[in-house]
Amino acid sequence: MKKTKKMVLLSILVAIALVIYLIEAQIPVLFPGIKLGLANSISLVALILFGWKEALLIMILRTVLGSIFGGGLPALMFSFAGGLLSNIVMIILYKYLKNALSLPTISVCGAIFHNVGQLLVAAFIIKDLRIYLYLPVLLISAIVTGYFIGTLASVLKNRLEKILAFDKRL
Amino acid sequence: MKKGDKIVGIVLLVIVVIALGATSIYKASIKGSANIAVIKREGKVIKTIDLNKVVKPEEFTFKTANGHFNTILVNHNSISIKDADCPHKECVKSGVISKPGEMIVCLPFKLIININGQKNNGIDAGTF
Repeated sequence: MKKTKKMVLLSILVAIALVIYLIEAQIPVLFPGIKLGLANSISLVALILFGWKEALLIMILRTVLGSIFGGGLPALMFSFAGGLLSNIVMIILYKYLKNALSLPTISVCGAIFHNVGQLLVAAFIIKDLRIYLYLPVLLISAIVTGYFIGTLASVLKNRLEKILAFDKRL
Repeated sequence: MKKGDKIVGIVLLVIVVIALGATSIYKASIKGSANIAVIKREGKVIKTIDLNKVVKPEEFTFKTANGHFNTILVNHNSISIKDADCPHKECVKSGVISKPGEMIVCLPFKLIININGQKNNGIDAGTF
């Protein structure tokens, strides 16, 4: 893939992730702290289609821009800790266990580590480890949302792969 | 479904069961006749309220160093954050808590409200 084309595609993905992130922030949640994490599907697709560097780049740009458009500094710390941990876990799983694990499973693991990372920051900020009482709820929600996002990402991946393959022939 | 999915699934199930067990044991361990709300900011206790002794609703406003606020509403046996000027208002959306082990957290302002079931924290058992 040409350098310019890759840059354009990556910036489109960042833009999509950012818009999803911002729209999702407006959706009311059942339980404080639980989100679908739709923007994560973009990171997952980028990881598969481009590679780990690009996935990390998209995650970092999305969290930084997301906190500028809404959320502020505390939100940045949470998204960043969660996003970094979940992306690293997904990158490692995808790199070494690609053949043994399906996409939804990788996504579930990523979602779990996202929540663990956020709780870590939360416990650090609030200086009270009892915040880990939220862990079971967050674990269950991570499994549900992670599975959903993983399924979404695999559908997205199939479509995008077709488009990119078609594009090469031109 | 691939081979590894099942293994991960089983591991996750075990982790969830352990986490649920650990938190319910913790919640059972702090149960008691009392209902003490402890409000902390950055790990420091700023107020403790005995919810059993609250007769009429009361409001407290706690300001942060940079002028932000949380307004806490206390009723008989329940406590909630009524208003705050944090961006997402997660603490307000948490609603009312009333049982030992429940908590409300306001992360932007580093505030946490816990409910304790026992008056004397640190004493394992007491006879009356």
